[in-house]
Amino acid sequence: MKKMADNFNKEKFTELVSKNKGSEWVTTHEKRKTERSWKKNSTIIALNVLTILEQKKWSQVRLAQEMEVSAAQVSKIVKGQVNFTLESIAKLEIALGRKILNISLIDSEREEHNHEQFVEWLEKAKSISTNKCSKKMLVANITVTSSYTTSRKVEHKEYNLATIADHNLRPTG
Amino acid sequence: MKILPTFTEQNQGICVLLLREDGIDELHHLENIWNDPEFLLEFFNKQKSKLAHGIYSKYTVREAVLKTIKDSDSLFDQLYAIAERGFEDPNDTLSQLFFPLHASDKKRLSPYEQCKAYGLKIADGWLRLYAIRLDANTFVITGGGIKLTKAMQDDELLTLELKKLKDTQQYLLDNNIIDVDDIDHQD
Repeated sequence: MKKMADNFNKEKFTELVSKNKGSEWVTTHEKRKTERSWKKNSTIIALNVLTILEQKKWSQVRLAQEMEVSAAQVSKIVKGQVNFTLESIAKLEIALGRKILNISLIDSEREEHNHEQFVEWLEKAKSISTNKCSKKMLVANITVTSSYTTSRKVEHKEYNLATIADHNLRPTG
Repeated sequence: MKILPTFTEQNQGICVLLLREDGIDELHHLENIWNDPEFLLEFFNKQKSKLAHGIYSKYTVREAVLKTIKDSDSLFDQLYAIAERGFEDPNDTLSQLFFPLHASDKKRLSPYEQCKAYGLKIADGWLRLYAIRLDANTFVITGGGIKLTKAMQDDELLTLELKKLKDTQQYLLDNNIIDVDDIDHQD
């Protein structure tokens, strides 16, 4: 790689630059860094709100009216600049008629229940997959009776619903 | 045209250009818009065909918005980190971040003074900062853009950025900060 020029007139440059007020970028960047932890979620809420507004064909002004807030506040929401409270999220959800935030409950008891239920399903699945309930056996669970009209024979199929339901509801995954 | 200082202690560092009507300098403006989901959603919706048919086709519009915000954080953090560490270590300069803009075009008048930065270790990065390099630690950032096309000339906004680079170079020439000889010698 060629050497880049290092011979600009530094004095003149410093003179030219230093008479101007410093860029605000440094301070805003520092502030931005401290806000990153919550801004990530605020950005996703902003995108979701914009998507819902588009789906509903609503303007931001309409949302402001529904929420009874200023248009400037809605503008802040869609720019991902709002550090929401649970109350303000609820207000937004009511206005949009859509859920914005999903928080899942940490409940190990429920997980155990689910696990037990899954084991139960598995046991059941094992018994279903024996020969007793093979496809052939399912066919065998259909009773066909026939009746006759004047012109043709009509077949009635009767299913043993309990067996078929068990088969259909077996866990597949 | 105005050039504003950023890190001024050593009279070097990043300087940014101010030619915007709203009085916000280029670097500040870029970080603002690259963190604005509303702006980015509209931008990528408009550029949907470029996104869908170029090398970035695996991204949806909304993913592109989130990626831009994430990449912008990395890019500006890198720039900030080097500048904040100061400029005493000759191996730790701002030049690590900037690359010549016209690397393959050696017949141009000023191949090494127009530079670009896209941030290190950013996969599929489409963000660019454009700058005029004055020395290893002095850069005038003239603007930036989201580059979804192969050539800057294929994009209206990036063509404007090329013009800004050229105009800034002219401004520096007019103010006797660089002279034509400096530029010629590099070829």
